Order: sequence, then C-alpha cells, then structure tokens
Amino acid sequence: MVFKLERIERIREYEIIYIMKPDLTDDEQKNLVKKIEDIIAENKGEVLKTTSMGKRKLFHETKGQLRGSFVHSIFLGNNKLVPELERKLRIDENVIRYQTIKLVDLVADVEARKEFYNSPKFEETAAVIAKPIKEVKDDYDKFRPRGV
Amino acid sequence: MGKRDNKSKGDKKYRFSQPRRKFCRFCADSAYEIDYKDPQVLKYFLTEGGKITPRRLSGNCAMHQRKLAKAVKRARMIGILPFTINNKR
Repeated sequence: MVFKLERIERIREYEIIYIMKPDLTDDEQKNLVKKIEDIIAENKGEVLKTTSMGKRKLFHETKGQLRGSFVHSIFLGNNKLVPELERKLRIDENVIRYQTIKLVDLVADVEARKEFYNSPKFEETAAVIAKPIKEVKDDYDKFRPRGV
Repeated sequence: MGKRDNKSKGDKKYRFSQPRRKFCRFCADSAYEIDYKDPQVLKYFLTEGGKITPRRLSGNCAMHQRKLAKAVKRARMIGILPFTINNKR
C-alpha cells in the first residue's frame, strides 16, 4: 500500500524589524511601509500589526548610518514569503537593516491571533515598544547584578 | 606553612564574609520578560565592555540565561545593543 502524503500549507507567525534611513521624509517612510505590506499581501501573507518605534541611535555604524527609524510589524505567512520579502528588502536602498523572527510555527486559529493583536493587552506592550529609549521609566535598577 | 598560620583565626582582615545568596531575577518577578526589543532590561546583564555577564555573576537560572543570551544577540544585530565598547583614547 502506498500512502500519499498531502502537503499542508502551514501558516506561521513572524515578526520583522526593519531600520530605515533617518533622513527620509514622512511621505517616503509611509510609502516604504506600504510597499512592504504590499509585498506581504502579494505572497499570501497578512499583516496583523505595524508599529513605528521611532528614530533611534544605533550602537554601531551600519551602511554608513549612525541613526535609523525603526518599524516593527507582525504578520502571518508561509515559508516562501520570508525569503522573498528579505530579498526585496536587501535590494531596497532605504532599508539599512532587517531581522525576521518566527513567533509561532503553526497557527491553528487565525482569527484568535487577529483578536489578540487588537486587544488592549497587546496595545500596552506595543506602547512600551514604541517609546524612545530615553522616555522609558528607569525602574530596572533592581535588575543590576551584584558586582557589575 | 608558617606564613599561613599567622594570617588565620582571630585576624579580622583575613576572615571571609558570607556572600549574599544570588537568585534569578526573572524567576523572582514574572512581570519582567526577556525581550530583545527592550534594551533597558538587557543592558544590566552586560559588562562595561559589552559582553554578556556569566551566570556565576548574574545569578540567572539556566533557562533564563539561555533566553537572555539569545535576546542580547538579536538586539545587537539591529543595533540596539553594542557588540563591544571601546574606551581607548
């Protein structure tokens, strides 16, 4: 007997951070964000949430830039989407750096994930992400290990 | 032998003080999560030169040290944390 294995298309959940050049105008930034969302949509993906993390100083020079404006977004998609997206980001001159991370390997309930990202619980955490570093409350002093 | 005997017992200078017990800060307070996007928590586990502090100094448990190390490496790649800090003048 021969079993035929059916390939199930897995829906995975990813998050991506990409850093744009700091000297872009607002319109150029919006266009770039829209362009990336379109790439995701073209490749059977779906953007769940996009937050701007604002302009930040980089600790090391990347592509001749010492500052950059960060964008963080969460999306659903299959495994073919990510290499295609990263290829386009590599070509784009206005993107300094990008990093994609897989959050969930198999999304069983798509609607539940969508609901989670629209809930107030997630918006609290998103607010922390969006704040510039200096504004974040400095109440982490108890984290400092002894002798360091 | 002779030198050692002179230093031991009675001499306050050479008596060891009992070290404070270390604990994993992430196990103790679940409100703080390890996230590579939040450098405020991560930076306290770096040395002055930008290296990750070892477990014997930070007191983290094995699981959280692993997660922390991964988060620090991810944060470095997007320029939120430094690879090294060079203070040469």
